[in-house]
Amino acid sequence: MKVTRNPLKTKHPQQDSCGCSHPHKRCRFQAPVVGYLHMLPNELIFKIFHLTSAEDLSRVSITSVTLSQLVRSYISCNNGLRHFLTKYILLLKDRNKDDKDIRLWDLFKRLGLLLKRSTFLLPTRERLMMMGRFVTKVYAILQLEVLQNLQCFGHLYGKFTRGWSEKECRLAFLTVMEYFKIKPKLVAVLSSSPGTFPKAEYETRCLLRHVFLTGYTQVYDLQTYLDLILKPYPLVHQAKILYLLYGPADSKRGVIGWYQMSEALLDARRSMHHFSGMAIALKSLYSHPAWTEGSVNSVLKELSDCPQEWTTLNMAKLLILCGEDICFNFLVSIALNGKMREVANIFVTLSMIIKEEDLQMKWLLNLVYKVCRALKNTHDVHSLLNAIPELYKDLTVELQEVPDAENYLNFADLAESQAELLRELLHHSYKMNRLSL
Amino acid sequence: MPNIKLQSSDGEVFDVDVDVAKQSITIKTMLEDLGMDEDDDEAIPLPNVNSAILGKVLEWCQFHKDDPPPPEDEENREKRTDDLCGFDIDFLKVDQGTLFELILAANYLDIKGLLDASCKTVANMIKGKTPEEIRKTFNIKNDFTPAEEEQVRKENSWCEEK
Amino acid sequence: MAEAAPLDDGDLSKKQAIALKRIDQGEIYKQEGNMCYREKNYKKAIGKYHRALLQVKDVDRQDGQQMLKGMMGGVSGVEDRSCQLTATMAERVKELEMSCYNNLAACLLHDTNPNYERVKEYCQNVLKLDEQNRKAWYRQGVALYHLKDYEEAQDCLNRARKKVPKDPDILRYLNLCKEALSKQLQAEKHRYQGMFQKMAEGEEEVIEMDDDK
Repeated sequence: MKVTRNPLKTKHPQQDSCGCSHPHKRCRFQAPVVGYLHMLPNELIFKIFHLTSAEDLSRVSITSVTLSQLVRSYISCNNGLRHFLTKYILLLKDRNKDDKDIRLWDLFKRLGLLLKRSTFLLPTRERLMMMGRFVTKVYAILQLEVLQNLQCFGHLYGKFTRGWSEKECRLAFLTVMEYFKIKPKLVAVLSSSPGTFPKAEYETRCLLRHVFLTGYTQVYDLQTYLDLILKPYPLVHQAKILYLLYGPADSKRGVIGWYQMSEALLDARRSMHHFSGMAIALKSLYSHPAWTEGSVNSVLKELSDCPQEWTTLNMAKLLILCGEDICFNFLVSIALNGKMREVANIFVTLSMIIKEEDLQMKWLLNLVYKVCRALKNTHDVHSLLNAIPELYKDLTVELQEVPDAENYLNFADLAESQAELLRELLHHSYKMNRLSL
Repeated sequence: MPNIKLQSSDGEVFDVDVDVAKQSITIKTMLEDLGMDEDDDEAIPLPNVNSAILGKVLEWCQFHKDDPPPPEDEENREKRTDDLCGFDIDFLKVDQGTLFELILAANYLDIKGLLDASCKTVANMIKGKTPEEIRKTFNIKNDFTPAEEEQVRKENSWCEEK
Repeated sequence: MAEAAPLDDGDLSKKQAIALKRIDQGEIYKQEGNMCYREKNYKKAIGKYHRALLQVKDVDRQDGQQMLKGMMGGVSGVEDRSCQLTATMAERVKELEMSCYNNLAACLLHDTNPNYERVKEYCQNVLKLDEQNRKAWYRQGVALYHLKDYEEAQDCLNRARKKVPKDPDILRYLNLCKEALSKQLQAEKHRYQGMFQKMAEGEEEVIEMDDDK
């Protein structure tokens, strides 16, 4: 519970020497609350603040109640603000500097820290209002481009709200959504078919990504904000939002590639980039206390159909990056529905790409065993185990018939993975054979 | 050299060279208005400054009397605190009470160079210190309640110190 | 115990007693200055007025506090570290500053070669304290006239007229401004006519002309 203090009512249990020569007990001079700084009028203290860096000032603001108020009033006045930005106004005009962006982000991180420390005595709502006023003024002075604005804000916001409780984060989230007017855009995008409002789609992606989902260093922050973003919406929309946020996009043209996941991706390098963001997001949700295995799995399933069914290859890539737990849950849920061929398809595809993630065939084999163990009866197990070699056979035939297919995976990959699998199985069964003797 | 008489709050009169006194814009303005005439020997009382401090201020002005006028504060120029001259650094190695009195006196008399130098000195005293060190340096009482202390700790445990 | 602001000059703390003395002394200097002015001893008057101002400068520090209150709208309870003046004292300081700056401006105008910029500065100091001060507007108008900023001068003089529309001095200066402005306009016209003629005579130079009045 934060209460704004009136220092005039502060009790001083120990009276410091007032320095007067009267030996009487009760002295009308008040013990200095801020030492010698109390001798100066505010305008002179501000002059000293003009010469102080943001970090130093942030530390000054947590020394006492009075100084905390002083720093707050300082950073609220125009001169105070300008003082932090002078260096950067010149930097922005310099075309030669390459690390402009990083230095700007550093500045905003420091400003976030300063805001954080100087406002900690205020109730959350007031802190956020102050942040909003502060940021608006900074933007007016620096005149950054829109994207820079968002990125910088994300860094400031990340530092500002670090360590806040869930309740405080929720209030902050709602305030910032208001400030950037994100919700109407999001609602418009969700209620129309993908690609209807490409500009709004891309803007929403940038807004949410840069503001809430980039300035964090801990999983806790990412999962908190993902949860806050997704929670109000039904499953279908959640999947759509995840695709909106992390799916493939062309930054130059500012559009989201809604149907790219349904098409075979040709460029290996490009493909990893999309999946890692999404995988990290899913993994962070997985560790969020309010999200169960089931709910994550549901979103993932919905995602795999969003907006159209993804190719098996793309699904496999995502699953690998999501890690064993999520992968396992996904496969089991399909297997329990009796769709063994689908599971087998994914297994086979996985076998062809595991080496890119430095995984061994052993890992895949163990996964197969694990899934089998989770099945209800031996009939299902047999179905699954039969489906895998069936699929290898079918794919071999298919690839042989259409050798120039525009497919990322080729005949050599298939052959190699099949051989690897066989090798692993042979070694494994020999070991079992020896043990049983 | 024409002289001018300045009187401190505790009655002491300082007979000062006009060139030295003109470091104070307040005094300079007055002298300009008078047309640099000798101000008929009547001292100018400065009730905001005591004799000890006035003496120090005049010492500074004496040293700096041949300095070019300080440049106007450019809004877009970054302010530095590490450009104090050797004399100023030594001159301002005083107890805090004096230092802050000098700031007040420089402000009262509008002596930009001294004001800047003394403010920079204070800023340098803040630089790089932890909050506890800052409190100690400036004799600042930690008047947070235990609940507020806890809030500080909580907020700052997530911050990397630079 | 914090120093509460007393309502009248009856119960004063030590600091406030000192402040009161300074205000008293400031008023004495002002009176002396006024006497010198009446005796046309302008230099001496200037000296007195400056001394008066030095007495009350920074006596209260309330400037800083007001700046603070205006800025944040919500910052409350910042400790008043300075000497809190009573309302009466504050009023006296304000009156004193206004008179001194006004009178300084008046003194300077009596000089053989007045520093009009300084006159303008002092008038502005008065107007910061009292936006409606007729004398300050008038003197500022005079100074601006001499600084050849005729339009601004007219503006100031008209403001001074608000309370006393028929004041002869104000009217005189307004006329002077009007004449000076029209002379300026004539001079400009001549210049342009000259240019037009040159163009008509087939000079090669083509001069871009702004049609600003």
